Amino acid sequence: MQTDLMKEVTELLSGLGNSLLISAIGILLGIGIGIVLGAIRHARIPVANIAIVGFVNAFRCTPLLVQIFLLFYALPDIGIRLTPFETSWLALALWGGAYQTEVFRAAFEAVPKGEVTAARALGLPAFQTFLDVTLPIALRIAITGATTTAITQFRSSSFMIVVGYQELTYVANRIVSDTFKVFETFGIACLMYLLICSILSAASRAFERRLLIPGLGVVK
Amino acid sequence: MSTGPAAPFLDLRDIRVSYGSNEVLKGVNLSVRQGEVVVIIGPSGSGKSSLLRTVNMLQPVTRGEIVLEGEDLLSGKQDVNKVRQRVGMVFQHYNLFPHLTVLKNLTLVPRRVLREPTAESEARARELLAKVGLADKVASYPDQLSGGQQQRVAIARALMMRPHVMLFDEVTSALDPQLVREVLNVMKDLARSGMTMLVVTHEMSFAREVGDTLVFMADGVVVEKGHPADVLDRPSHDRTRQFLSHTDA
Repeated sequence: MQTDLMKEVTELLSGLGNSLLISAIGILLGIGIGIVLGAIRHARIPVANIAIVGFVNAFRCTPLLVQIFLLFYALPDIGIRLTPFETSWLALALWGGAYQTEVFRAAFEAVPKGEVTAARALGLPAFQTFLDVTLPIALRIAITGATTTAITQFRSSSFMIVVGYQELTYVANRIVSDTFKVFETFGIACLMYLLICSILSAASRAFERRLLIPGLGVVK
Repeated sequence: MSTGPAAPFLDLRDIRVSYGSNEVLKGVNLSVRQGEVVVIIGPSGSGKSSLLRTVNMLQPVTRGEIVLEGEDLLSGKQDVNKVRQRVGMVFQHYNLFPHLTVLKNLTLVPRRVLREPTAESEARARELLAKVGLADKVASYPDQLSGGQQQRVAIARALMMRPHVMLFDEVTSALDPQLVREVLNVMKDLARSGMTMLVVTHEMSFAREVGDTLVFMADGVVVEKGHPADVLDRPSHDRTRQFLSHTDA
């Protein structure tokens, strides 16, 4: 009995490891996509702007599950064959990237214009002003929103069961079909999700406190 | 084109600026000598700030010529960032970088643009902060300082670029009355050091005491200009008289 439980927990932990792997890739890429596309939106670059609005709408206004099906089952029709692993991190990155684009666009817009003007008035070129003034202030503003998206990406990694990627939910489901121990297996899986999400949000709060601008009330 | 002894240091010729169909500067002419302190007064919406902002190319000009040290700024051949290094500007709301310490506020642009070594720009920054009376605030963040202190940091930050001319856009308007003096004192010292200055302000005592020339603007034109005492005590236009009657000049 004792060894059975240990064996199940070990299996679940390996599933959790896979969930963390695709989530980490998806979250980092999502933030990267969000910063770059959000910055282009903020700069109002004509044609790119419209393309980005299209991308954001496409991924925010369709179900993640359908996006996963399209990536895994439809792309082979046009010659692109993705493994379950590739489908998993890519789906999370694209879906998260769409949300992060809006998070970072809003953060860039919230940076006070006066500070940007002051930098330009000193002779700092536009792109350098973006790197030294706009970006550092915007990142602080974006932390809370970006964390919410990241946590949702991690939770959504459970959708990858549908392409047969061996993440936590997939493993839990397999154990249940072998052992019929529904309550304890999904119970442990739930606790694992809960634990990771709690760590993520605690890390975000710690990060916010570390980057807090002394005396400034913008970041709480 | 070379700057002869007779040529003005800064020459604004027939400057026109429009926002859409609204013309805010309707042909302004202004010559400034090297080391001259020009104080610009006038009611809100008279175009004072827009005029200042044309000099460092923050404000696009519809028509006219701006010649700084013999160079035509609007020829399209000037590197706007190079021009701005020569033209320092201080704003009403200080606009310090909130995420950087006072020291880094001063050293950021010199290090990036002038490629100055960190040690050198930090030494210059400490020197300038001592001059504006804030030697002990190097490690503070802007929002830990009073408005007057922030504005003095902003002046020091502009001076870090070794500007040839300084623009002051209502720099004391957002300050509590007791903090105005500390900022004006820094500006007086700067004027005495021979800095060429264009100062938009409502501080008539500063205009009288420090200004070499007083310019009164209204409705996008220069109505009157001359020696500050003459303009303030014996205005020759009704519009000027009317404006001054509402001030403590």
